[in-house]
Amino acid sequence: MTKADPDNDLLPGLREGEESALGHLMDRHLKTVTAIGYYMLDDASLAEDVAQTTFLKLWQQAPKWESGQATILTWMRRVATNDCLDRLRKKGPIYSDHVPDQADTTKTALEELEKSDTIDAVRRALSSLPDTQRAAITLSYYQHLSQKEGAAILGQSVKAYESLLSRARKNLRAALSPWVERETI
Amino acid sequence: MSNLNNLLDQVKSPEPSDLLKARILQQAKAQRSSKTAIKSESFKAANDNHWKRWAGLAAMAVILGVVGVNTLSPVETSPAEVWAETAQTMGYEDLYAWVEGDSAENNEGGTEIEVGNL
Repeated sequence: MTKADPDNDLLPGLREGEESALGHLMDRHLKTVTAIGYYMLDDASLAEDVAQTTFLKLWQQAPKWESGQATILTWMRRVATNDCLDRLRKKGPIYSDHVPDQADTTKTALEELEKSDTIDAVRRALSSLPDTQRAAITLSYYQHLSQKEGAAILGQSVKAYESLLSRARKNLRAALSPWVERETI
Repeated sequence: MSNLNNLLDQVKSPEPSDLLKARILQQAKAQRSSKTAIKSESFKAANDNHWKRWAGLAAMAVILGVVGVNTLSPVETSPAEVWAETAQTMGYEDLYAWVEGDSAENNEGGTEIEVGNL
């Protein structure tokens, strides 16, 4: 039995080309879809491009949308992930436009520096992962999807997805070993 | 594992910019109007005169071709026929036939002409 799509209420409006329906859908999911782009591409501006492409694709496909298949959000996650994978394949390494956050005056400079170093290290470690491993971490960890859902989005069997995720975690642990060990002590 | 999760937790995706939603809605609107424009393009507008330029050129080429062929084609009428027609118009066809027939005889058989009392 398939779960009812919580966005079904917006479907008639989307089919009719009502911009208000698209606006409501963005209120619900724009952040989620943009986050996929951000964790996959490590670039806020490119992440917004991914979100734009995804919502506009949905807008085009809405008149042909069949209820009872994948939910709207699952479909958008798949489109966004594939878009990111395409961009990564086409462009090779993507350079980040990340600007370090302003120092928080409530913390000591050393703490802030350590935190900033850690964040940079995690971002570098994520960026160094093979594309599909990065996608698996994004979907399972940052999007909180089950392995079944993640596997469906990447078009893989659950077993293959589990293996992908396991390799991704192993690689991340290796890349972040100084921080992982420090926390263990 | 939880250590790794704690580390991953530290990277937070930024909020989408305020303009993103407006940008997407604007694009969606533009897509819808361009879709309508594509639909209407499939019907030829009554004032679409793009084809007329080519039709005019084609017509010009056909006219020039016909005129050129007519001008350059060789005239099939021989001088003898023209003279015969002229003689017929003027009422001397018998005389012309006699002269022509006589000269033809001279050329072919070489018989002597009987001039009579001339």
